[in-house]
Amino acid sequence: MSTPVVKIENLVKRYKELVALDHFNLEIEEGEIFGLLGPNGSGKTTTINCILSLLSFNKGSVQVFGKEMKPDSYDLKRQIGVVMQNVAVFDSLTVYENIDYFCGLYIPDKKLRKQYVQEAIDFVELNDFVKFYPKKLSGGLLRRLNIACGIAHKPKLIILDEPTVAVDPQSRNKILEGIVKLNEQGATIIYTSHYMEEVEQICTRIAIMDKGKNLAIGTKDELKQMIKKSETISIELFELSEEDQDALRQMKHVYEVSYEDHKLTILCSGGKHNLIRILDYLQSKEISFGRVYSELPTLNDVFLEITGKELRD
Amino acid sequence: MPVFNLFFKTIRKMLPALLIYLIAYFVIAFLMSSTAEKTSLSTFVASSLDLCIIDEDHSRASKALTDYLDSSHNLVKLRSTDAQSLQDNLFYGRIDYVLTIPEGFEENLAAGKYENLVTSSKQNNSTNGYFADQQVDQYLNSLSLYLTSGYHLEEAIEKTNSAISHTEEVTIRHFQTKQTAQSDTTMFYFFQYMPYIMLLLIIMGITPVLVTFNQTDLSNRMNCSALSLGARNVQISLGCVAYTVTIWLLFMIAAGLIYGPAQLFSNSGLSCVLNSFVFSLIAAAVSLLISAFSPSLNALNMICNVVALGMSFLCGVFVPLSYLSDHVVMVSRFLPGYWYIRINNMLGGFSKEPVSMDTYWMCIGIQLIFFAAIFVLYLVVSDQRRKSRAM
Repeated sequence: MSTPVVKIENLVKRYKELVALDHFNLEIEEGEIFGLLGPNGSGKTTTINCILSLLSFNKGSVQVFGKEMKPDSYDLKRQIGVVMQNVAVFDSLTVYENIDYFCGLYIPDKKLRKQYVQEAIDFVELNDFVKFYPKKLSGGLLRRLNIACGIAHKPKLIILDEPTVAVDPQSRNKILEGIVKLNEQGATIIYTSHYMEEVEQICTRIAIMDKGKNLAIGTKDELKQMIKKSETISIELFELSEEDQDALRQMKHVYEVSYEDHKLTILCSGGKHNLIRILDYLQSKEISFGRVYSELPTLNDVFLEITGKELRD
Repeated sequence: MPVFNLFFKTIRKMLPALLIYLIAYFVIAFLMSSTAEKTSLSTFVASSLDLCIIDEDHSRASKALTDYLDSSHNLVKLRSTDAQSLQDNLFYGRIDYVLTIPEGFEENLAAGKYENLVTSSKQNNSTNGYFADQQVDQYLNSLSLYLTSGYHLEEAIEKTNSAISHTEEVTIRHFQTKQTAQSDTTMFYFFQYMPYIMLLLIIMGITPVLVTFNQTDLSNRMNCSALSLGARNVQISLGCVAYTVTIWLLFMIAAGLIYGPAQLFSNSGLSCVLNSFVFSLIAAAVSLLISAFSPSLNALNMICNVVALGMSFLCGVFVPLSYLSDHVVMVSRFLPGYWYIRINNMLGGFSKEPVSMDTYWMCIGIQLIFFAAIFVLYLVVSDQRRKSRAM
């Protein structure tokens, strides 16, 4: 078995009375796009900062590429690229100068650096803006510059801490496509977000965090299988009697039925053809219905069932 | 040296503002030096006053006094010599001085009654008036001396006129070093105002760069990098030193161009050069200390002006120390600018303190202690901030 790229064991981080990380464990394998999903304040950024040795912690250990990570582990840091949550670039430098500067912190060779900087510019498609100062860039372009500064030195491990916050959908898609591309080129990615759609879209494995704890870990399918709900059926109805609602509750795999504002919502756990059986019942009772929706569970459902609250609470 | 290069790339943005301050200072220094040359003490000449003499005695003695004053001043004849008219003429500056020689002047003089021999009026606190008073007193003292010595009036007047007409060449001496006395004191004015502009330029140059470096996100990004903290700090320190020395050198080159190398490289000139170099180190340390508190970039301009102007006013850069109250001077002793100015005042002859190398080295030493203290304070504050960030 290969050495995990990142291994966190029993990590505890306290800010006075507040426990930010509570005996947190994690293993990330090479080649993964690993998603850390959790609401704001769940401990995602604290985890990242502990991995990078930006924060000291009270207990536990952090290993990167099989070695203990310390503030002076410069050999390990050489292999890591970081894209912070907030855009961290110099306003006094142009786009090119910013990428060149941050790349220069890893690559002393001028010729090689020039090549890497150009490749990073091509990668984030900022060729038309190389002479622009950051203040002249839009939010999306600025985020792309932020990413270019973090990946220009071709790291093996790339940590992206909510890189799509306050970015328009078009730029967000470009960023997500770029992350997948970096992974295809061989980089292991750690991606934190509170946007479940993004995590679901690109991550090969996901850890759901809340209150500094790792609540669940696995692929998105594995996570969805952990919960009772497998399908949510919504039907627009003009009228539905209590008897009919009870009858629906008695159906196989149905575990919750509610009717509010002319909308019937049925939650099913497992089983096949649930929708057909429900519609057959309605037709047999000559109950007319309008639009019908069937939704598979999302990561939000997983989070809701595990924690009892919405992901964006 | 990516961080060192970044240091100067960041300063590049502030270059126009810095250049404006620098050029304005050099232009003012140049203008001051050319103006001051024309008003130097070597161009001193005695001035003539407009006098009105009311002679009520019409005696030989009163005539002699009038003739004596006429020889060096302009006698003005007024239509009316009543008290109101004389006051008006004095008030409007038509005359500088009124001398009234009362009836019985000669008799009193001969009888040795010197009290109230003459009366005079002058403009309030007029230096010119006191000058005329002195001349009258001097003449009457001489005349009375000859009379009491047994000379006849005619003889006494003759002797007095002869004695008083004899003048000596006056040499004005300053409390300055030999070199300074020969040279132009305007160079010391150049160094006198330097603390203000030096503080301004060095704080405005170094602090924004360091504040930017200390911003949490940028600092975190750099802490994640493969460049060690030690290497980064060395490069930042080199940047600070290079910038400070460059600014100081610009001032020295300007001083050399304006006042000439002979004056700059004289003993007193070199003393000023060393003094200014030590102060530039203090300015750099102050910049570091301000940056350790990470003020916002918007507040920086205000902080910079408060520090530069505050220290300059308290330490006698703009207002001579002799004009400041004892309490203010006492407070200013706890600021490095005071010791810089004390040296400059001593060398330039702006204070009564005689030039002493012991005093000079003491002031330099105290400035170096200030530099060390501020620098240590910066290290402590920045270390505390770094630790609290990592907690």
